[in-house]
Amino acid sequence: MADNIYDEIEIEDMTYDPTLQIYHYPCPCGDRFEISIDDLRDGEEIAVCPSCSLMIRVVFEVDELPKPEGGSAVQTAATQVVAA
Amino acid sequence: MASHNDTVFAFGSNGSGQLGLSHFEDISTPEQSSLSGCTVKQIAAGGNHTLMLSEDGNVKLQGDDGHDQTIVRYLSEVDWRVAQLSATWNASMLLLQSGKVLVCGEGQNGELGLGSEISHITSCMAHSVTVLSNGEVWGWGNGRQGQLGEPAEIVWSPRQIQGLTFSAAKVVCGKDFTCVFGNRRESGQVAMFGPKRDRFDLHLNLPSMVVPGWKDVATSWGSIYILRDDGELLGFGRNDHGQLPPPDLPPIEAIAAGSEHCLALTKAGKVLAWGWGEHGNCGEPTDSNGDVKGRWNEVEVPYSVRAVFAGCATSLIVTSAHIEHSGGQG
Ligand SMILES: [Zn+2]
Repeated sequence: MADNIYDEIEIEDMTYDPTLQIYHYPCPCGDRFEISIDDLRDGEEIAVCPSCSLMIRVVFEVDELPKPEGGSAVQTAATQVVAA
Repeated sequence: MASHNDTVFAFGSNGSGQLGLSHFEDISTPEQSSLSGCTVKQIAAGGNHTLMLSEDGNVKLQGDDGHDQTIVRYLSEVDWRVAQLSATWNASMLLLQSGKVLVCGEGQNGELGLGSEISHITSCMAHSVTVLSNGEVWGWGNGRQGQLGEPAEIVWSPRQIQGLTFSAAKVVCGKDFTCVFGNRRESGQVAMFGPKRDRFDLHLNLPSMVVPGWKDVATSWGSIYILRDDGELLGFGRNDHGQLPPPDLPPIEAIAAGSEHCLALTKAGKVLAWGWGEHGNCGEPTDSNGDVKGRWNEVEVPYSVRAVFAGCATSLIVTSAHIEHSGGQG
């Protein structure tokens, strides 16, 4: 399993897609590693590529993820984190 | 916009025709200039040439063109919507509405802002690096692993990579690093920028591996390849999918590195492939992980091979075959 971990990528280096609610990062096969923000909130850290066997470990802190929809003042602060 | 046609009167020095008159005499009484005929927004003047910008973003020029300072007249068919003009002694600057600047003319003291000529460019996943004719190296893109020098950060416009102690001849980029090579005939100088997190010991292995007399260099996302003049192929860095050159390779003529695999054209004209081949990009067979590891596949095409190229799990072989092509896809 560990052999298939292609790389460890800090979440700041990944791109967030607010429509799909996923973080993604280029895969050497030409597709991209993907993981949903919900999975990250659940503590999952492995992003997979739908086109090949490679995967990456996402380096992140659950506390620093953007908060789910429905927050109020908290959400504003979290949105800034994504943009940073 | 209500447009009208202005009429411009000019007088003064006119030895190069910079007043846009029908003659080249200096005059002290205003005469009608050929810069007339549109709504004038701005006029700028160089040593012996005059530029006029109209409200609709077009430019007219008059005067000396000995240094191509009015060459923009030839670009007028392209939609260069101009916002503002300026001129030095022998050069013209056009600020386009797109926010870009068009320059033309003489720049012996840097007037054109173009720097040295770029002699070489290369890119990897998220950064690009150029070698200038003066041996400097400039890059832009993602530099968070130090691949664009210090400070390690995203670089939005070209920045010189500092700390290089020799004149660069060629540069290659991996995903998280940049490797700069000096003159291949001399001492074999090399410098690495990034990666900060060096999981595959690139920095450790670099000094002992670089040799004078290299013919070509290439990089995958995590490995560096050095082809020597005698056809020996050296490699170091990432090898978990067999990316590095397998033992006992025949003499190599040319190489191409993809994201995690490598192609080689042998001096005998054969194409060899090895590394991560999960998508078929290293030919057949592969092991159960999709790798061609510690060995190579020979990939056959029915024609004489001229060159090899490689991308993200893609491989391309250029042959000298003349085949009738059925046109491009619609
Ligand atoms: Zn993939």
